[in-house]
Amino acid sequence: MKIEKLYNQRIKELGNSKTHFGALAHADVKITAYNPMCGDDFLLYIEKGHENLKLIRFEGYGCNIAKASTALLAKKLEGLRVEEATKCIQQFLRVADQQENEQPETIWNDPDVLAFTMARHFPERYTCVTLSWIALAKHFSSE
Amino acid sequence: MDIEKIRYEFPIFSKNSLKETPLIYLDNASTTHKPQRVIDAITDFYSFSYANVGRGSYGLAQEATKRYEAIRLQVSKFIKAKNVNEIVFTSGTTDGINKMAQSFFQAFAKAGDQILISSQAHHSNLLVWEQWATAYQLKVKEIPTHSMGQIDLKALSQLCKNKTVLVAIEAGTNAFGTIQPVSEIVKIAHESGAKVLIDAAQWITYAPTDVEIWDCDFLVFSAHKVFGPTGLGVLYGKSEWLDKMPPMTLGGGGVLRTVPQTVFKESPYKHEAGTPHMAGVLGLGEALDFITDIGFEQITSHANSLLAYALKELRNMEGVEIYQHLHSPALPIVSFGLSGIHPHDVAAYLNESQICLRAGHHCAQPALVTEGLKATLRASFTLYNTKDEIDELIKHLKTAQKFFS
Ligand SMILES: Cc1ncc(COP(=O)(O)O)c(C=O)c1O
Repeated sequence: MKIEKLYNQRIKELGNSKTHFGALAHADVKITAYNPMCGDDFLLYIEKGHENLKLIRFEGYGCNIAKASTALLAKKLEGLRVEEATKCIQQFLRVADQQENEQPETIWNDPDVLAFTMARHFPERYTCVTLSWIALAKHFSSE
Repeated sequence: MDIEKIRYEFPIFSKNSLKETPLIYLDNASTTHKPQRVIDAITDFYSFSYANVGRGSYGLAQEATKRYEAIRLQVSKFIKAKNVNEIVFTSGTTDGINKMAQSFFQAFAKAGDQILISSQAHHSNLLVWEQWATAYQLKVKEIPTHSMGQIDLKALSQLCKNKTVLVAIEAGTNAFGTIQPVSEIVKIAHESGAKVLIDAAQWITYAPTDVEIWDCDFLVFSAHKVFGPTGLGVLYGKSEWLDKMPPMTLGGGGVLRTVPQTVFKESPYKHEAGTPHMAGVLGLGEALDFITDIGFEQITSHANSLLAYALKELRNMEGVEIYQHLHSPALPIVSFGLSGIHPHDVAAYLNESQICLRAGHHCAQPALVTEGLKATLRASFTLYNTKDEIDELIKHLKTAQKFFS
């Protein structure tokens, strides 16, 4: 599998975009997503609304893949309720999981999300793809 | 030095050379590959000469013990130790430091004493001191360094005015390849009554090690970084200290008797309880022979020329930041980055072309943070690397810049 497939246009664009990047002055929670192997380190800011995750932003340092997946997280989970967000995280993890038998399209049919399907062929990058998503899932389950 | 001939001795390179994309291994600071003769020494022992050492009186066991002890002697000569009993086999550099620490504290440290370490320390030569300092009420201080990560000798003298029990530093650092002025450091430490531990994990393959000239009290290294097997290391300690230190590990093999009361063996045996990594020791012996057969004169000069070439080629590129390395000599390690591209992405890209380069903090986070860095790319060379491989690296770094732009 060629590396261009992993670093596809959509992922590169997401990784380089400024979407949802930055701090939230009034964040209700701050969650650290840290990869000890490479030192990638993100801080997720969540401002809660009445019933939902009103705003999500992030800051930090990481590879293109990890940055793109964190940007995607903020983009996709913003506005959702915690139960909905938890469900989305599970779906996203399955899209990227090499062991998963189900077609990615039937799990979460979204072009941005599907850009990460390639992670199935690069299991060594699973941690980069899922870093922030897993950190958030852990936070929800500890809440 | 006939590099092609040397490469041919390493199955990973001779087998790979037939492939379309040959393996380019530039992560030697992390671990080195094994020549066939080392692999053979290990399998031969398991196949034909295997028995426990230092225990049985039958022929096979006696023979195994003899060979095991012969390598202790070989190691002592390799690092110019005065006495064969100054060599303790461990399971690696990290293990050596962990093993000696507690025993050392019990024998020599008093509450309030300080331990001096370097800001360039590998986590292995940092965490042990940090963690145990609290238990033994010791203080751990970082020795200030010059901008290259080199120990500031004046600052060291100043720090040593406070009661110092141990100075623990790397002979050469793994993040930036900086070589420390070991003899001077030891002299300053000794004048104040402190003992010195040298982490030679990186140094050991670069140039000859002479513990007598350095006059260090302890020294550690790992076999896997000198073309030997994993799971084995060496701790050198001056006899006068090893004898005074309580056993580093307790158990079978380390005692003369336990009835009517326990009597420990002399060092180094009292420090080596349990069945040791015998096959590993034989592998290390072969690895040291391999090095000796080539000779450090050639090894060091090859390393220096690869480093100089890599630095020259990297400096000729646009958009490359090279960290440290304004001075020489240095270990054949170059830490660098491509502007605006995360080291991990570059490493993943290079992996496509079978180029193995480490990206990250290299188990020396404080060293990077001191430089304002979070991660770097690190290319590290050894005797089987070639200028052609560096050319390949440069070529692919350039295409990586295009790919990620
Ligand atoms: C300077 C230094 N010290 C200690 C170590 C740890 O060696 P090991 O993992 O073999 O115990 C390393 C390995 O990278 C090192 O470079």
